[in-house]
Amino acid sequence: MLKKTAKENFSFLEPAKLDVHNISVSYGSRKAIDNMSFSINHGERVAVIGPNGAGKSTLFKALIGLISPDSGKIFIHGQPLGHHFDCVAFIPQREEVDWTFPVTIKDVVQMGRYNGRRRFKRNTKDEDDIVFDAMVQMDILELANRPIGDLSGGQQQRAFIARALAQKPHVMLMDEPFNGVDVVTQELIWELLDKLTHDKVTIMIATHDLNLASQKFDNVMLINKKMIAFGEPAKVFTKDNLAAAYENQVLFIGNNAVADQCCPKDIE
Amino acid sequence: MLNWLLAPFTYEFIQRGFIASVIVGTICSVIGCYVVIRSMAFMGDAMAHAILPGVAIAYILNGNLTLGALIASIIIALGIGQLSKLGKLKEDTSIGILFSAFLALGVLIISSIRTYAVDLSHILFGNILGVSRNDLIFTAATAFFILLFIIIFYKEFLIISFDRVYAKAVKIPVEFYRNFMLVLMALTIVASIQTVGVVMVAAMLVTPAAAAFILSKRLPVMMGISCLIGIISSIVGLYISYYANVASGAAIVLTATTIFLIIFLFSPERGIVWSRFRRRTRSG
Repeated sequence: MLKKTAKENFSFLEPAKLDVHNISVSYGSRKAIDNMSFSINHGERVAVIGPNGAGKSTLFKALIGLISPDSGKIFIHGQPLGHHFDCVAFIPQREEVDWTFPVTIKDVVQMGRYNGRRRFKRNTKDEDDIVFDAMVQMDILELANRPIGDLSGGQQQRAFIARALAQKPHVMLMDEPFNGVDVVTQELIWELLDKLTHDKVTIMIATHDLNLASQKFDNVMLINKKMIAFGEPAKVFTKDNLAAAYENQVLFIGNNAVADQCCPKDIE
Repeated sequence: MLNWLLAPFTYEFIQRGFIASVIVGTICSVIGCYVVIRSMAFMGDAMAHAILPGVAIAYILNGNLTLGALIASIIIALGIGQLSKLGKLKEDTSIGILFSAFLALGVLIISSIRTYAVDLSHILFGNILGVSRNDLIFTAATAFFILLFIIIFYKEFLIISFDRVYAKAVKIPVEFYRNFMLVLMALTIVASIQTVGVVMVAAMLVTPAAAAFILSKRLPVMMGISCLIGIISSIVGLYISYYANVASGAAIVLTATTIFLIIFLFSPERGIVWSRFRRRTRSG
């Protein structure tokens, strides 16, 4: 490779790899994200917590450039969003995919290596290896030639995670990855997260599960349209912060908080 | 038997008709795969019918009928997208509005041209025996470019159809490729008018691809099977048309429908009959 692509040109040791400055996003007249700012260091693992409609999915969509914010700026590795071709990988919620589509697991994972600038070249050995490794990592190699519609929810989720892995991301965004998947898949996701953290990939996971967030993450981000708190779980999950985020949907029993999680789905 | 098979080919205009319908069967079934997996059947129908005013206006202006058809078909395809976006309407509502408006406009113009009656039926139902040498060259060239683009932009079309969100995330210009696909659909439809006509082309866009969808698990395989069904339908349909002396477009479409029904009922994995049978033996 003669020409270095943008993402190979900087050091992995730089701090503050993901910076969000005062972004606001609205759908029509409804504000989904209101003046949010934060900064995440390279290789950190952050749980994004908030009630339904808090703007978790919207935040992710803004970070991959799917929605452009009304105001504010997003920087990745100090460069404005859109500068890097395939630096941020996003794993959508399962409901957003057409499962009757005639593609195999391998087709899906190969999409991760899509690159518009390499149209007439055949995939190199490296490319095939990346796809192969991603499938091995998510334990779906034997399913490679099966159509996605034939698989269980967990296996489908794994295929989409493998696609994200094949993108070789610097930032990985996962929207409710533990929803409706089996134990094996959950274990595989945790294994993967540890490996990614080791490889200094920045990870953000949107989840409803407060327990999970406080036990398995170094940092949590509590949002409800606005940033409520961001930091270590013990400092973020205070009575005041939870009350601010969940409004009436949280019940305090002594020192324990119970959040109501059975409200209607996000209307995004 | 051989005589029976070769008899139609003694006439040159029938040879041209055969070649034209095989080409049309091919492109309709390939583009049709995207029509089926992207749920654009209604769109295809609208684009086909929108050809009517295009041809009528071109006729009045003494212009090229094919060009008129193509322009009208592209206008409705892009218009539907714009109407949905600007009016915040669901796509099928926009199609419903523009589809009938174009059709009405076509009927209005044509009813004012009295001498047009004969040609009109050719547009509606196709006239396979009237395929001229130039028509054939146009159809073949169009088909060549359609297939070429489908191959070159295979990855983009696959990704925008399967996962729009991902497509946008990896910076594929989704709107551009969507419109590009609509233009390819318009070209397919216009190239097919001579053989199957406005009314039947929508069926050729959907039926072979739907049958192939039941049988296949990957898009390239689906396209291959769809193609095969499209070509077989065209050939069998034309023989039926020749020997039973019935309209060629209708014979082709009904042959495709028959093949679809057979696959729908008897396909080894998803066929209705076998799955009934399996259920019964399992419970019994």
